[in-house]
Amino acid sequence: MTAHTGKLVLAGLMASFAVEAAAQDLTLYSWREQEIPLWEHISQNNLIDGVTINFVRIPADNYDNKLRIDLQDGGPDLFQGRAGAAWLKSFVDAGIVAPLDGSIDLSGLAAATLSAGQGADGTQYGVPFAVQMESILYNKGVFAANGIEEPKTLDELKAAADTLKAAGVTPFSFGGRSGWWLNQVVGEVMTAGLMDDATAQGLIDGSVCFTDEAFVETLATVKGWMDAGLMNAAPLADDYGAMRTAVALGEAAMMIDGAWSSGPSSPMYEIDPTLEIGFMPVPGKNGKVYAFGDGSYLANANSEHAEAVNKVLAFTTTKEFAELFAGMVGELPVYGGDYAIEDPRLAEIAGLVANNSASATPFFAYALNSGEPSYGQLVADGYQELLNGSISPEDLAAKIQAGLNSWGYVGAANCQ
Amino acid sequence: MAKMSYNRKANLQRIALLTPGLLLFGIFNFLPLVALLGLSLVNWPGIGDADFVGFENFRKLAREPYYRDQFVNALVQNVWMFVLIIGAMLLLGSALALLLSFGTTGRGAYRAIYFLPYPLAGAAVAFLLDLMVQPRGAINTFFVKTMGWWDAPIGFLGDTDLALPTLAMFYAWHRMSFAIVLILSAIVGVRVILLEAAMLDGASRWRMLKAVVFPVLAPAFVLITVIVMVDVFNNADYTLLLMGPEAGPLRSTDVLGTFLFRTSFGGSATSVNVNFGMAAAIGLVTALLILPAALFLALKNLRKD
Repeated sequence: MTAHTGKLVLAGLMASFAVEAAAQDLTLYSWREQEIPLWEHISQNNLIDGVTINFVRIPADNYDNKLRIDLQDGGPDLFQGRAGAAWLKSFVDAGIVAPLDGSIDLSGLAAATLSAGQGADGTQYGVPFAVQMESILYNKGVFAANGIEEPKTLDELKAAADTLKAAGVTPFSFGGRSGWWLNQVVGEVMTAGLMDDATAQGLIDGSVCFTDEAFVETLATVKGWMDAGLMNAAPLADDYGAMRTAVALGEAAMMIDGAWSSGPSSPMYEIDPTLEIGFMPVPGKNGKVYAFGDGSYLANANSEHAEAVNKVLAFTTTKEFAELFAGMVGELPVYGGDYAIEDPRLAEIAGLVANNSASATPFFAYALNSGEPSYGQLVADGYQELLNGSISPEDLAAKIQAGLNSWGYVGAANCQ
Repeated sequence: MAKMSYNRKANLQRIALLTPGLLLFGIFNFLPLVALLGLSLVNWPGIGDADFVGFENFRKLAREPYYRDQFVNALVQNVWMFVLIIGAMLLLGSALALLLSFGTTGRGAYRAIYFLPYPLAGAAVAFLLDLMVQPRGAINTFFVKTMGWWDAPIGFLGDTDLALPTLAMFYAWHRMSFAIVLILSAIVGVRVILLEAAMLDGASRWRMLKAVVFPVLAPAFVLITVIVMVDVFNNADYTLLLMGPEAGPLRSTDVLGTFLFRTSFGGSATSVNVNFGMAAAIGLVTALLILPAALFLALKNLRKD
């Protein structure tokens, strides 16, 4: 070997080493299948300088246990967390999740979404990833075929449901077998539609009790739909998937669900590719949809690649990421400034969230969920009892109140 | 060196034969059980540091209504599920095994059909079950639309009285061939001379079954009972797959396995107090509850042989 070729080989080795060192491969755990194309795109186009993301999707049912078990032995560099301090608590206590690095600037994000990544004391631990809207989702084709306009009051809704029932269509599809859907979706959408924001906020700070007439009405309205035969025959036998299937098939007209079911990767389009989904709030006194920061991107404090991890988190706060997110995931990003939305469906959702969404989120409130039985638990169990016909709305409200009082929640003294 | 006595040799052989099994059992069964005891004394969410709490988890399980009520409910339903499953497996299993033993034409084919579900994964059976019993599933479609016998679909898994028996019946269907094979081999083992003697004495077919065949079947029954008992009290795959960790509707399908899972991994996004320690305590108490029954049956079986 001549000296010349020797130098070439050395240079080649150094170049390949430099490439190796620059391309840092990070692992990101998520339960969100819809983000797979987004992160593949980001890695393939090297949008975060020198960082590639190995996106590991774990089914939602298994997410928590797989994540916890893997974290015992290092775990991923980054992972997605569900919204709210209640979920974050054990990760913060264990030192897995640390307050966000000061270099990550969240000032460009919509302020209302930040709580998705905050602990009970307001410390920011994660970067929120999406704004979700929950409301009534309806099959536009079924509404049109039966000459129904979007109802603006509860009475109009009832009349529309009666028309649909007479035409042999199930007005409301309920998937009561899925407990998570009952508390995270039904409970919150009914509250946003029927209960004014101040009263709903009162539930969270303990100044309003769950036995309050306004809360009882949210339960009574659902019970009323069931008693009037406006729901599928066995609402507890159908799960979340069966509920969506019925609406996609046009056997049912409406369901209470998240706007994520209308996103481009929703399985509903596999049933009917031409399906068009409309959104409306439960048209009660408050008449608002429910919006919340869905969850957050979190850094594993024990990752050996802290610098690269922070680069990724910083990237998720940018306008560029927001536009990619809206385009490829089909959900609303948390970005607060102006960004382009091409999809008219998403633009409609963005409009509803901006102009007509409820801000109180009892489901994610730490004060209601820090003890057991938690508010989420009580509402899921409670709605099942209600749909089973074995409890009245008043008794259920009293039961939820008693369950929260049993561990001395924030309103316990006020609501005996 | 003196020649080894026969007894000494036999003892050495016994030790050599038992050691590998004992080692494997010790490493994979006994040590984890001891570790479980340690785990049951802490409060640990699965990550970070564990808090030593002594017997607090056991105290909560016995005293605190939140845990106690769930435990009692899960235990009672677990027993009910076991009774349903073992009843179906022993009764139907014996009947089918008897039919197969009678030299029926095409029994090879029957045997294959009965055995088909057994190698299926639990998850596949659970999925199949769901397709069958959903309100728009095969059973409801058949009886409501095809035959017109029912006015409305029956929500098998949404009915607090029907959900657990539905799961139990599918469990029994899935494992039935295991019972059939064991019972059939016992039937085949019945000594023909005994049957011939009974026949010569003029015994009826039923009498022969009762006096000659069934006593021989008892060990197979006991074996099936012990294996199914241990499985039904320790696992909850169908319930977890179909009803989720919350074991709905209204906890009507909750068994010890789902209660344990929910305690260690949480049921919903708002379960904040997940505790592997409590789950370990539940596991230990479950083991203690079924151990006497399993031992009694197994030892009884040994003596019979």
